[in-house]
Amino acid sequence: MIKNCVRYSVVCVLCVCYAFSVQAQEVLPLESEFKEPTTKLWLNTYGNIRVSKRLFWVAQTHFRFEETESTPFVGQVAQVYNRHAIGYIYSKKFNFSLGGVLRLNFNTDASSVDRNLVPEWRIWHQYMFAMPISTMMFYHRIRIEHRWTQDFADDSEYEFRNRWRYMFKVKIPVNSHKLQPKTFYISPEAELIMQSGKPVVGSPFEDLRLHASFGYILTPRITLAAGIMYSQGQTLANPGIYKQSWTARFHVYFSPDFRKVKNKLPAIHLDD
Amino acid sequence: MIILRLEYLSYRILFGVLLALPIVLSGQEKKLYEGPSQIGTYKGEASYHYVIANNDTLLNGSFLLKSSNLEALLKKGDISFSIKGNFKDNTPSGFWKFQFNEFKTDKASTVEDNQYLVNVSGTQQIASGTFQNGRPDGQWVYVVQQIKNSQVDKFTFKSVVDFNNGVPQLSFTIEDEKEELVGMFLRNGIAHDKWTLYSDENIDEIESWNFNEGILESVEIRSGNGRIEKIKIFDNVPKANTKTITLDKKYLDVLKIKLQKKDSKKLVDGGIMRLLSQNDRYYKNIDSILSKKTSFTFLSKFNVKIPYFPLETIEKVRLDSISKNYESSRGISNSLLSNTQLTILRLSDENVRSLEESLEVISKKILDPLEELVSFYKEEKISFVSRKELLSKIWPDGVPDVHKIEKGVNGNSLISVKNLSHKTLYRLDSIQQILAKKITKQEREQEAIALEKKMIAQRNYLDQLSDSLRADTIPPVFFNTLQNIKKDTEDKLSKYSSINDVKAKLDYARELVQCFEKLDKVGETISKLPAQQYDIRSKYQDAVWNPFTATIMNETIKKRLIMAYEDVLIPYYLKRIEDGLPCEETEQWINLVEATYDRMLELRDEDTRKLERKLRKEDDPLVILERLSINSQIEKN
Repeated sequence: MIKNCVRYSVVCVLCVCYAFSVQAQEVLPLESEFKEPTTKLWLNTYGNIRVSKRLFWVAQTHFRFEETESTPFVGQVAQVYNRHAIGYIYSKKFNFSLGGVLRLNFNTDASSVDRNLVPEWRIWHQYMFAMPISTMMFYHRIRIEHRWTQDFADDSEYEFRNRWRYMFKVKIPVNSHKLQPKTFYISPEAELIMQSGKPVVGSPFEDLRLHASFGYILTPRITLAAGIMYSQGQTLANPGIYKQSWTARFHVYFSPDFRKVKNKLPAIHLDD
Repeated sequence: MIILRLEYLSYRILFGVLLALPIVLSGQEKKLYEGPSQIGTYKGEASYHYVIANNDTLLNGSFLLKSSNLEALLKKGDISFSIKGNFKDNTPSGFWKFQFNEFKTDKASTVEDNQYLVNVSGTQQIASGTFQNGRPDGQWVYVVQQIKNSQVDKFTFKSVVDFNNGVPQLSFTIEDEKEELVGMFLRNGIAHDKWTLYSDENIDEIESWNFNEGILESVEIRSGNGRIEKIKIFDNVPKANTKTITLDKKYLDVLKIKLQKKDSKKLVDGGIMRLLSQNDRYYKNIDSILSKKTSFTFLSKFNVKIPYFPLETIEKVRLDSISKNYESSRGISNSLLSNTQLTILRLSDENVRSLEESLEVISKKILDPLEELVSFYKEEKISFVSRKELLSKIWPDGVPDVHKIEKGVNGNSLISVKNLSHKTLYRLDSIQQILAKKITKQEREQEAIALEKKMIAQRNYLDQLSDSLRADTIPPVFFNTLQNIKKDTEDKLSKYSSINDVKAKLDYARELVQCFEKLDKVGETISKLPAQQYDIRSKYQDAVWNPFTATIMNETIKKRLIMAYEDVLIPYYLKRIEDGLPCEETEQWINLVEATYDRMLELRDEDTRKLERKLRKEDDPLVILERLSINSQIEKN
């Protein structure tokens, strides 16, 4: 099953690259242009709610703010994410999820006369691999999103795109020999987000996110983290123009387990 | 018609009686018992006939009790016996033979008529004679003889007495290897005329007791140089003031006290007294057997008359008082003289030595004579000698004074003896008190040393326990609490050392040893607390899979319980010690701590959601104890 997923992902990425090579647009600048970085603030909550021995409910809500002219980072609300899914714990080292996203996009263009808020719908699935190395944990995440977006214009139609995301992340405990409660950790992270779809002409490279966070595992059920992220990627309208941003990210991870005690046991023996 | 019926009835009764007769007769049918039996110390195989009458076993017919052990004989020698005779209606009757043997064998054996015969050597006693109506009648012979190679070698004692219905008659002879006593009785068994002792080595008589109708008037003893010495005994005694008694040990004792010391010695050393005593002893042996089996006695009944001085009531009262004082005094004296501590103390303590010497003198010069007087009274011999004569024999120089044992003369009366016994007791009591203080002081000192050693060891034990709590991983509060206990013990020791009164100090030391033992146990409990906490924490850990890290993490569950235990109860327990836990509450404290631990282990697997809700924000330890049902846990245990 894992092999199939990987194969499928690779095929998808190749297709995107092919599309990129044949759909270059005429208005391309002679050289890549990098926009001035914007500043953003993301407040992310990640909930993994255990519902059975192997299934969990993914419930994430992200509040994303963007700078305004007068206020960096938190000037205005840009998006509110509601990401849900059902996850399956295949083993301690692999789990996958499938669900939907409702993203509320706010019009951050002050001069715009269009709608202020439009929804965006996604179906997403992700495949998470974990690798313990020494006292650290390495993670590989493949996330594929099928998104339907529309512009703020009143008569705007939904456009369908796919997103191909790969993230590599490390968690390094600082004050402990392993990731356990009362542990601070450092987590460098890199994610490449590619996109495809009819509207994507020459700009499959949507985003490269480099994120470093510093976290604290309060309990096995609550972890807090904060970090800074740099990202860049092609604008959809012009592949020669790259947007950049610096984002302050704050994360709250929670994983409640409302199962009765007798159903919890034995939590540790997932492969039995 | 009625007459006929009555006749018919009387026939029926007669017929019934005739029918019942065999049953009545069969009730008295002679039965034979064969099996183990015991009379006094004589234990063996018995064979006797008896009848049952009114549920009583009545001996009737032949009787035999015997014992012999061939195995014992072959190994180290055997003491065997045989008692053979007849009873008639539970009364000894006819010929009887008592035989007691103490044999060894040289193990040489022969076979004759298909029987193994072994040679024996040793001593044999045989008493034989006849009984009539339970009393010796006719000639009784008591022989003690040496047996060598199963043959009589020689006799060492022989008495031949003729009885008539239990009363000795005419003449008797008692002899041993060298001497022979010949004596006479009146018909009523009273000693009369001259009792003469002959020796194999002398043609002439060597000793004679001259009786006049039972009264021993004089004794004549031939001395080594052939001269006859006459000792007057009961000379010119009015017959009215005499009493007839048996010539036994009691009589002979009175004779001894009656005579001058040198005369008494001659009499005691003389053959007649020896032979009479011996005969009396042998007869008493038979009596001890017979009187245990029947209501009859077997005594030689050699009767004599003796001056009689009946005790007056006031004399009895005084003698009782003397006896009592004597016994108490002897008790004190013996206990002090046998006290090993005093024996050691007298080596170093002049005062103790002096008092011990006084004790020895009192024991010898007062208590020994008092003992003689008291035994005369107890053995009912005192009526046969005048008190004055008795006391002058016991204390020839007069009744002494306890404070001037050597000199004091207080006359010769029971009053003065009573005073003496009283004063002696008083004196001994005072000596005892003085010496007891010495002993007690020494004992106390020794005990105090032992207790102090123990107390120090107990305090040091707390140090050892403290060491185990010095680890970095253990919160210092435990170590500090142990230090509190240690300080408490040191305060108590300090208080102990400041006490001057020896008795109070010793009492406090005893109390402290017990207290410290308890505090040591509290210390042990405290030293176990970190491990118990660790156990509980471990037990309240649950392995949780963290989806964000994809790792298993240990999660503490039922945190409110853990918090109640760690943040409220444990500090509460330690605080109680910090506040000074009284010794008498230590056991309860230990029980509480142990019960809390046990209860916490139990609660891990119980459904505690309601309980956890109740524990929210609760910080009163007593309420928590109640909610955790720990008090009921203690009661359950």
